[in-house]
Amino acid sequence: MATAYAPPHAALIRLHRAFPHTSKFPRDVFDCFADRNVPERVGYDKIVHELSIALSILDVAEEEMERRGNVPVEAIYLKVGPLSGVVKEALLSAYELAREQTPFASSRLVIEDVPIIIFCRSCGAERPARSAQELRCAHCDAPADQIIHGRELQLAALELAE
Amino acid sequence: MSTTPRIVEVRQNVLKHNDEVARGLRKAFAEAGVYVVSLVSSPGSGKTAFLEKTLTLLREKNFRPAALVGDLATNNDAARLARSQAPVKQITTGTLCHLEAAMIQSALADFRLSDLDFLFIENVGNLVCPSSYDLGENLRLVLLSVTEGEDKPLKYPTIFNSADVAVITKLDLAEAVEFDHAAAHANIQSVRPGMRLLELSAKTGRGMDAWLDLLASEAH
Repeated sequence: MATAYAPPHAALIRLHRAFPHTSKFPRDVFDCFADRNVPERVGYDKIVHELSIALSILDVAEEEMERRGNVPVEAIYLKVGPLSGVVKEALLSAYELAREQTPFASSRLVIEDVPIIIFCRSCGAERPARSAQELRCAHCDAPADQIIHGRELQLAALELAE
Repeated sequence: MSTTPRIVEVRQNVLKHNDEVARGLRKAFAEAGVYVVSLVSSPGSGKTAFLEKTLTLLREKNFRPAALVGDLATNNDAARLARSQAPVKQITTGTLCHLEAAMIQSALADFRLSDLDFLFIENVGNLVCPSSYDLGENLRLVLLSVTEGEDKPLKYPTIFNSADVAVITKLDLAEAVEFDHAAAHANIQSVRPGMRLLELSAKTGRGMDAWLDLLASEAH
């Protein structure tokens, strides 16, 4: 049942080709970001992670664009929850690198933050959570029973030039 | 060129390709009757020692376990696990900071799933990246050693949230580092209310029975 690696592994290789001076990953990928306004607090691990995510976004966006007759994409709309494991600033920086030499070179990435919504049994209703660190009902402080929203990492929409 | 933008809904998970492969794996595991456990933690949390002990104990009980080990560059972990006599395969991730479902699928080519009872997947030591990727596992463990500090769950809530069981390791060192059990438990429950929790030492074997009991009850 051996198969070739699915994207984003393939996309990483594509990126590697696009940046031949980066002889080694992932250290040199990070170096590519040296002049790209990566916020200080966003560490090296995060950049490599978000680069994989950015490449997956482009793969899914490319499929969707092809399905719609290859109309140029002006913007990619993404929904990101705090429990997705993705840092917005790092993803935006990674996206800028990943989109180069692709059909999305001039497409914007627009990120919508999704709040954490839990099901609270004591309230009997869906409620916002206090935070990712305190997964409790913001109304009655009971521990969360179930996470309804907050794990999203979803390509929500494309803005087509038409 | 003047254009009028048009917004079309897509609603696709960014990691849908990984999720599709993971679904296929989960189905193949179920059909072969293999119970699959993945392990995530920081580097140095004791994943390999814990896994070596687990493999050895399971083999003593006449189970047939195997392991896949993700590592950035070396095969040291696989070599250590091979001492348990269980089949072990290394996945060198090289460019990636985490395992993806397609890597598991490729690595499984060397195993006959029907010959196995348990498959363990040791992810790359990293508390950030592995949280996003489904590997088709039945149970995900997050390991936290007593030497790491009780506030680690608060710093990395997402990985604790994506895991099913928290395992506090290196219990034999707890006293020496003045590990605050109550604070660690409270922090884990804060980021994931109701999370199951084990404390153990792979070195002394303390707590390993409770872990194997949990494994047995989950697998059946």
